[in-house]
Amino acid sequence: MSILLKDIELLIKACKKNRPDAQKELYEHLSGKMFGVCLQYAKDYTEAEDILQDGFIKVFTKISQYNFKGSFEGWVRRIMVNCALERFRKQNLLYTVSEIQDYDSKLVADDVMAELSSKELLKLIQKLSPQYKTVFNLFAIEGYSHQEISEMLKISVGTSKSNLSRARVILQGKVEALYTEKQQNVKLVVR
Amino acid sequence: MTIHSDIDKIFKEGLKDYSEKTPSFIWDNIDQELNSKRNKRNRNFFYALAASVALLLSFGAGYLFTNFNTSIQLAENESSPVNNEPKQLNITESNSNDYKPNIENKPELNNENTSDKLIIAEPKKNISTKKAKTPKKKTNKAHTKVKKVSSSGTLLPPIFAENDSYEESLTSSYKKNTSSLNESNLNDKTNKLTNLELKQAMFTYDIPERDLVYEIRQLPMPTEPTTIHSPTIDKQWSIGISGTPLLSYRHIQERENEAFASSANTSGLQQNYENEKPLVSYSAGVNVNYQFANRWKIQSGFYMSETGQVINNIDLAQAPSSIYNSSSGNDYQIITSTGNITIKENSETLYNYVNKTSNSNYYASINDLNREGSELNSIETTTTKAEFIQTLEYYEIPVVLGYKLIDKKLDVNISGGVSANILVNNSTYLQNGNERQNINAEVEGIKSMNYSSILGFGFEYPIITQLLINLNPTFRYSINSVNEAGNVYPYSFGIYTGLKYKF
Repeated sequence: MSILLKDIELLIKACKKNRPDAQKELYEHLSGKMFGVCLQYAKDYTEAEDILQDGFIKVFTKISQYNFKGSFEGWVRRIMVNCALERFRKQNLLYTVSEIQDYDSKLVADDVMAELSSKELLKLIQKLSPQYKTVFNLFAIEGYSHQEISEMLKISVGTSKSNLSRARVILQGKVEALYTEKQQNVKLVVR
Repeated sequence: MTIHSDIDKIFKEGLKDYSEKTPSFIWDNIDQELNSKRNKRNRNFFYALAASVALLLSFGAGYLFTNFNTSIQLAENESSPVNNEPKQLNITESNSNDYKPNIENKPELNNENTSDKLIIAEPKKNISTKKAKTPKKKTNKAHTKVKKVSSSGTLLPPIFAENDSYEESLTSSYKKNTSSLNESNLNDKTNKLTNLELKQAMFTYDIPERDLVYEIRQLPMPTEPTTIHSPTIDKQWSIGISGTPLLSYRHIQERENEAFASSANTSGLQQNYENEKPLVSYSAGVNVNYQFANRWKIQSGFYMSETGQVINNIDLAQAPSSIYNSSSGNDYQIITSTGNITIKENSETLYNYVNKTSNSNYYASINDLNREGSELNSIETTTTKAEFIQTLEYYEIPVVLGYKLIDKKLDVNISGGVSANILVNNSTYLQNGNERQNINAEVEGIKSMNYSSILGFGFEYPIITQLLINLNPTFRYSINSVNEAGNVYPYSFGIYTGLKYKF
């Protein structure tokens, strides 16, 4: 369903007044995308559902703090990411600390994007270990800097950089593998 | 082109619009939670409202009730008839609003009025012709149910109340006094006693005279010359040993720039280091004491103590040993409040030590540095939860001042002092069942010297001559931070039991 911007504003205002019907509609409008965000950070569907649930409860209880400055979706997204990070922080993990590997890519981003679906990309991210996944998500997708990430996750900037680099290396390998597989399939079909 | 922007871009663009349908029960849960929060808020508001209404009512009732009663009194006083001579002795101090004795009546002739109280304001029969400016106290006729008497809205203690029980408790001497007063004034009806005289008469007590007899006694003189020894503190020095299981933990001082302070963030500092727990370790040593005054002693000694913390909920990955060994050899870190623990072991070794509990599967990367073109692969690995014990061992040299509070067979004393602690061992162990597994790991950035303040109190009891047993609950708190980052202050508590030998 598509909802106009103005309608969203009205919905938000109604939610500020704690109206259950407005809350439900707002949830239905955003839950799909937010679930996608949660799936990026969670290790499985169960955890993603928990994050989504906690996230939306926080959204509706703190909606009074949203002042219509900046996009609402962005605000909700930040809450989701925060909920995911809360869980992440509870698990204290061994962080690998070693040299940063560089890797030359043979692929062009556009080609890859044409071939691989969002769902496949999501699956690749989900398979990363928690620290790589979280750092990669925060840097590459949410757009935080290493300094910000180090503060959010209580790790050093160096650890953040090395985790990112390792995540990229793994994902690069996986993406290439998947891409070439698909290319071969396509060729086979053409023949 | 390098990997960096491309792979980032692939995933960012790819996942930008991704959405997936959520199962329906999630909204039900959210709705339920919001409802209960809503109800709770309403209920709390209702309770608060009810409570404040109740309070208001009780205050209002109290105020009104007292005012109402005093106004009844006023009315009664004015309306009751006068049946005695109108002679009255004006000794009121009624201009003040306090409850000073407000004697408005002259003493009566008949016995009835021996019930006049010493400090009572209101006589039984009202003959005052002057309106009191202060509200009068209740009369017996009013038969008040309220035991406490109020004047101008203040509550007075029962002694000021007019009731029968008080009358009975009057001393006989006072009664005698008033009767004598009556007699003396009986003849002269026109004689007006002054305020002072009447007060004096009313307020004198009948004190029986007592003769003070002084006796002169002779103190027994010593028949022999006796020398007086100055009190010596015998046996000033003592040495002892003591030990205790020690409970230790640490205080973290918050740093200025707290992470990610957006309005949506609720985790805050409490979420950090949630997996750290206090550690039960040990402390033991020898001490030497010198008693330099009657109740004061100074103590020093040499102790060895272990402090630290337990870190649980760590994921260990079971990966083949070829994977995580890099050339530098430092492969692992655990981030703790005290500092980073560097573990120079490979993951598989650690994994094999512990009992396997929960498992999850992840990709781990393989760094194969020997191969040309560094082909990078990843494998799946399982993980399990583990607990680490991070310890710091110190040699401690305390200097403590003690004061004896109770000097009997069982001595009780308090003590305070400081201690200089030298770091001798910095080890982190892996908890393996009930034992500690030795691994090659230590915390980075720990200062080699630590100073702590000591506070304690103690009990001492002699068992045989010159040998005592003691029990000393002691609390230690670090004066300087234990880590170079400068924000962690360990503290510990232990109940030292030990023996002491005096010589």
